[in-house]
This record gives sequence, C-alpha cells and structure tokens, in this order.
Amino acid sequence: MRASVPDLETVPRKLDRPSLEHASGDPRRFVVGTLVAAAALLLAVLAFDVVVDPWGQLGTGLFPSLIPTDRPVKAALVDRLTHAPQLVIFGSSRSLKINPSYLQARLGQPGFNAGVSDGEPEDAWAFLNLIHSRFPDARPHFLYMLDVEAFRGTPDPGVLDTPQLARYIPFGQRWSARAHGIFPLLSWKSVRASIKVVRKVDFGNGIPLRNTVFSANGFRAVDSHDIARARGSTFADQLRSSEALYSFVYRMLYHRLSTTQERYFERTLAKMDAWGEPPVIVLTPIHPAMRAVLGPLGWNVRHRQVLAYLAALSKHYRFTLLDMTSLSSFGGSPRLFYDGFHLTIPNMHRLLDTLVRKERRAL
Amino acid sequence: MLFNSHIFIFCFLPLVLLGWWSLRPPTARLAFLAVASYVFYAWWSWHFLPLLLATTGVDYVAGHAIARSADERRRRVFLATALGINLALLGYFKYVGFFLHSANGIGSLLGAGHPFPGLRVLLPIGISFYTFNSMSYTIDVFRRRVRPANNLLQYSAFVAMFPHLIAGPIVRWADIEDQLRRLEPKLTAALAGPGLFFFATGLVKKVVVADSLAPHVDRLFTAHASLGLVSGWAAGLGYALQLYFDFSGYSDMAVGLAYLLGFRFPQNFNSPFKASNISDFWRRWHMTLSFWLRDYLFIPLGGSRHGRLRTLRNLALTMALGGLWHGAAFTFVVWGLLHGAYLVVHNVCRSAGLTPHSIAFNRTLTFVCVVTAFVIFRAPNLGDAWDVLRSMAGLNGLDAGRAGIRFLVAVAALVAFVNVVPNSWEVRLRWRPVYGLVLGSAAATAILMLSGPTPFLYFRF
Repeated sequence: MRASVPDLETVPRKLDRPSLEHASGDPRRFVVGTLVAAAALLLAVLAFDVVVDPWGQLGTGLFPSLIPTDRPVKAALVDRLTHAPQLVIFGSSRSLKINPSYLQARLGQPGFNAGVSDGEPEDAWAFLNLIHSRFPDARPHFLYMLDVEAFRGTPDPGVLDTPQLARYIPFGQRWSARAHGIFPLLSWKSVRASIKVVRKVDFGNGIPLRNTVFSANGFRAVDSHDIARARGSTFADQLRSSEALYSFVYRMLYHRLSTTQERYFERTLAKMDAWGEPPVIVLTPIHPAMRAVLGPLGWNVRHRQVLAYLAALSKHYRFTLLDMTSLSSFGGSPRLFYDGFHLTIPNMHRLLDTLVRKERRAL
Repeated sequence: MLFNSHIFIFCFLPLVLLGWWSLRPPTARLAFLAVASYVFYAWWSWHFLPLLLATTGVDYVAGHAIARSADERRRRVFLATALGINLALLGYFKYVGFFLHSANGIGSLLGAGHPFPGLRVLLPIGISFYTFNSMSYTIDVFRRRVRPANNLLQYSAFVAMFPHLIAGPIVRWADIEDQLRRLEPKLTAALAGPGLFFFATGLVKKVVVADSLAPHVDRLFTAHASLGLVSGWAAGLGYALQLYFDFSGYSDMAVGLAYLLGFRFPQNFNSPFKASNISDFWRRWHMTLSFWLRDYLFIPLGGSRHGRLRTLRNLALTMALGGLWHGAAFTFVVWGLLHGAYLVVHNVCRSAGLTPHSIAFNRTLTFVCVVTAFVIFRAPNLGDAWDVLRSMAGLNGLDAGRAGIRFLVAVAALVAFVNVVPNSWEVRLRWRPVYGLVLGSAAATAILMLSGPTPFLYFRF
C-alpha cells in the first residue's frame, strides 16, 4: 500500500451476504452430514460398479462384461491359422464385412481379417505383433481400414482384457487406461448396467453373447446389424442411433487427435514396413446423412486433420492412401448402409472392387 | 477444466483446498492460488495462458503508474493505454472475425465482392470475464476508488482466481481487495457450511435441471421451422429456464468455491424471473455484469444526468454493447437492442405514469418480454429466431404434441418454482445434520449424472 497516493477516495464496496451466513445452529454437523451423505452414496455406487465392472473397463473379471468383445475370438482365430496370411486386414467394425475370400478370388492370395469392433491403433499394433510372432518369416500385404474416429482417445478395454494382445501394450498405458475406467463407473448409467449384468447372468454360463458369427479367416458373417435387421429394425432407426452416439463423441470427446494413438499408428506403420509390404490405408466411408450431421460438430475438421497427419507421415513411412470417405470415390450407394458408417456386403464389394482396380499391385 | 467434472471434483478441488489451507505465509498461499488457477485455465488450452498473463501484467503496471502519478494528463494516458490494450485483445480475439465477415457481407451486397480475407480466430475461454475484471481495477484506481494491489502476486491471484475466472461473477478489485490483504487463516465450519451449500446447490441446478432441459430445447430449436404455438413457447420457456439454471448454477458453484477458499463473492442472480419490470430484471439477472455496465459505461456516457433523450440514448447504447459483449453475432446485438428498447419504453411509461399497478400483470409482462428476447439470444441466426417467434405468436398453428407432455409439465413446474421458491441467497435454514444429509445426497446424485463433460452455456461468452 502506498501512503503517497494523493487524494485517495477509497469507497469500500459492501458485499451483500447470503441469508445462510446468519443461520442458527452448529454448521459443523451440517458440513459433516453433507460430506458423509455424499461420500456414502458415491462409495456404495463405486463399490458395486467396480465389483460388477459392467463395461469390462477394470478387468475385475468377477462378472461377464455387458459388451462382449470380439478380440479374444480374433486372437484365438490367429492361433488356429495353419498358414501365414498373405493379406492382413486391420480396422474397426467397419472393416468386419470384408471377407478375405472375396479378395482372394480377385488377388489370388489368402488373407485374414484382424479388424475388431471399436478397433483403434492399439488393436492394430497388438494384432500385428501377434501375427508376426506366429509367422515371423512371412511377408504379407496389409490393408488398413482407418476411421476418422480412430484417434479419439484411450484403447478399448477389450485389448487389455485379452492376454495374447495386452502384452503388447506397455504396463504404464494399461494402468492408465484402467484408471480412466474408474470415473465412468461413478454414474447412474453404470449402476443400471451393473444391475442388468447381475440380473441377466446365469452363473456358470455367463451372459449369452450376441449372435456374432466369425469365419476362420476373421470375416464377421453375421453380426448385431444383421440380427437387428431381421428383427425389423430399419436403416432410419440405425442411422438415428449412430447419429446420437457419434454426435456425443464429436461434441464431448473427440476434439483433437490423440498423440498416444498417433504413436501406436506410427509404430504399426514402421513394423509393417520392416516386416511386410507397405500397407494400403483406406479412410472408411461415411453416409452422407451422417456427414451432414457430424460435419459441423467436428467431423470435417478431424477429417482434414487426419489427412494432413497422413500426408506428413508419408514423408517418413511407405504406404498408399485412399480417401474413401465419400461414396463417389467407389460408386457406393447411400441405400446400402446398415447405419451411418457400416456398409452392407454389396456396398463393401463395390469398395473392394474399386480398391483392387486401383491398388492391385500394392495388395 | 469444468466445475461439473470428475477431475475437478475429485482431484483438483481437494488438492487445491489441501494446499491452500496447509500453507501459512500469505505470499506462498497467493502464489499457490495463482498457479493452481493457471493450471485450471491451461487444462482447456495452455496456448492462451500468455494472453491472461499479459492482461494481468498490463493492468497491474498501469494501476501502479496511475496511482503513483499526480499529473492528471499522465494518469489519463496510462489509463487509455491499458484500456486500449485490453480492448484491442478482446476485439481481436472476439470480434475481428465477425466484423470482417460482416464487412464482406456488405461488400457483397454492394457488388464489391469480399474485400477482406476470411479470418477464424479461436476465442480464448473466459476472455470477456477476466478482461472486465481487470479493466475495472485500472478504472477504479484511476478514479481513486481503490488502492492498487500490494504486489503482482496479489493481483495475479485476483485476476486468475479459478472460481470466477471462466464465467464470472465479474468480481471487482474493490470487492475482494480487503479479503486478499487479510486472508482467512483457517477453514472454519462457518465458511465450509455455505461453501458446500452453494457448490452443491449449483451442481444440482446445472446437472440435474439445466442439462436435463438441454436436449429437449435443442431438439425444438432445431425444428424451428415447424414449431407451433405450444412447441414454440415450450422452446422459449425451456431455454430461458435452461439458461437460468445453467448460469445461476455456475455462479452458485463459484460462490461456494470462493467460500471454501475463504472469500466472499458478489451475488450474480436474485430470482430474475420475479422481476416486476425490465429495469428490475437487470438488477436481478447477471447482476455483476449489469452493475459493471452501469458503473463503467452507462454513467460515463452521462447516465441519466443530461435530460431524457440522452438518458434513453445511453440506455440503448449500453444494452447494445452489453449484447455484443455476449458474442460476436447479430443475434446478440439484436437481443441487446431489444432490451435497450424495453428499458426505453419502460422509462418513458414510468415517467408518464403509464405503468400498470398490478404486480402479477407486471411480472407476467416482464417475463414474457424476457423469454421472447431469449429466443433471439439462443437462435443461431435471426431467421431461425424469427421462425420461433412466429410460432410463439400463434402464426403456425398449435402443434401441441411435439414438445412432449413430460417436458411441458417440467417447464410448467419450473416456471412455478422460479416464481415462488426463494433463491440460494435467500434460503434460511438451521444448520441441522439432516439438511446436510439431504444436500449431500442431492450432490452425489448430481455427480452420478455426470455422464460426460457439458460445458456451461456462458463459457462461450
């Protein structure tokens, strides 16, 4: 404070005080009551959800997860392969309708689809290593069906719960991914899911898995989309549902490309380069209606960022890039989608035909 | 970082409270608070931290230069420089894109094409709030209303203090200087009680009420072209309530956090929907902004001291700039101008003795005017706002089904609630453990409803 300030006309502002400051009684008991009630309710919910672990985030394993992951199935299929695949396909559920037999008929080489639901760069990295450990002397080609959403955050817990794959994820990241799974358990949504798990579980048999059927080459012949269709669910229903999900993703979660997942992606490219042929990377399609909804929410920006990122990587790694996000790039039909992202088999065949026509040598 | 996030509630806040109340030397405590606040701010994006530091530095230096100087001309130069820098930063980051876009629009209309390059500038979060905080300090030092801060640390803690940094209340140096000079030595139950009450109440208002209204309001505004009388009013009322519970919830949380740190903040909302005229509304809604505009804009423009016409002009101009403060869009300007027009009409009617005597009528009329204006505030453009206003006027039929009966009942119940129930500053209760149990359970319920980050509506301003 400076005594030399001349003519100081300090006018202290008097702040109104809330009525609560004049409340009678002992505030200590109120404070204790508030904290005890909040802590008790939150801890009870957390304890219940940690034990049940409905999304399989923590890996407690006492109850089956409500979201059955296809990673253990795919890892088991890799174990059962008798010959090295000459073409390995990576990606998310959007790649699961790629039947390696269809490509074999056109390219003449057997393949394996290593794509998994919610597949992210960690999955591609782990599966690449798993297949390499089985067939170190092979020199396969790679088709990487990359989603614009592939770099949106932490790995799917399924990769951490599958021992054959988890060993390729460093301990620190496994721990960090588990820790990320704690806060989502602190919610009514998780409580509802846990109750669902406990009520549905047939102790001894677990929760019946959705009727997902895989071929030995990793092709997902029948999945939840097919079953939903058989039950009368329309494209409009599925589109609405996927719009709601991805609107949430773009609004709330996916504001920048995850640098951790970028590192996994780059390590995967480097290993592909060292072990096999340079991969063909395809940016997966999006339905025009979905694009209209997600574009302003961030899809357009993320799409540009992914393209710029891949352009920068092309200076360091060998790969071929095809942006097939637009249907016009492969003559796709907007009517041949299950929802906003997943192509039906006829549409997928159009994409693959275009791919074979353009990149036969790389595949 | 958001107040309504797990990371804030379970990690940041406990650590900050532990550090703040463990440290003894005031300098160390202020340094800790400033650093913690910078971490809080940088959690969103560290790139804009230098901007916050620059604003702090400019006003701190200017405040001291003004206070030291006895030469009036030099004092004015220091003040003008500080205000110029603050307004230039605010103008660039918040308005330059809007003005260039508008100029290009005018150029296009006149057949001159787009004379200016398009520019998209990312808006630093909270810039409107911390710039106004900081500017009020320099102006008050110039007016000799306050003494300058003892040191840069004290001033940095004031500007960056995380409870008010992002979305107010707009705390002035005069509100808090004594509190910063005499820090509370320990966290007593007398501070923790109101602190927990306000924080929990604000959390419930935001998460349970505002976030539950949001999807319905969004859905109705998206269908702006096909709304009818009922759905149009559901959209307007729903948004007014959403905004109130969202922003007053944030303000309550800020007040609660301030208590937990041993500070008192000014009141920001005083049951605005109980206002009996538009002037009364502005004494109850976002009070710290209203009073800021009154003290630093309306009164310097001449206030009501130079005749009726000048008063009315000053009212309209103040409200137009107040609207523009909310965002660089014509919807906000029109919203501000509409409120300016409301105030002008009210002023004229009151002078002519034409204001109705029925309190119920006055409150209803004020509420309808405010809700109507909020439609313009909410809509992404004037065309959409016009569609909703037409439907509210009954020009598009009834459309009773679209809003959904549950939403309509919820809106009706909340309208009754905000008109009857005392606000969080008026609540009188005995400190009883059972109230604590109820409040704690309500807060835990709200925390369990946090499914994802939902930013407060006023963050974008």
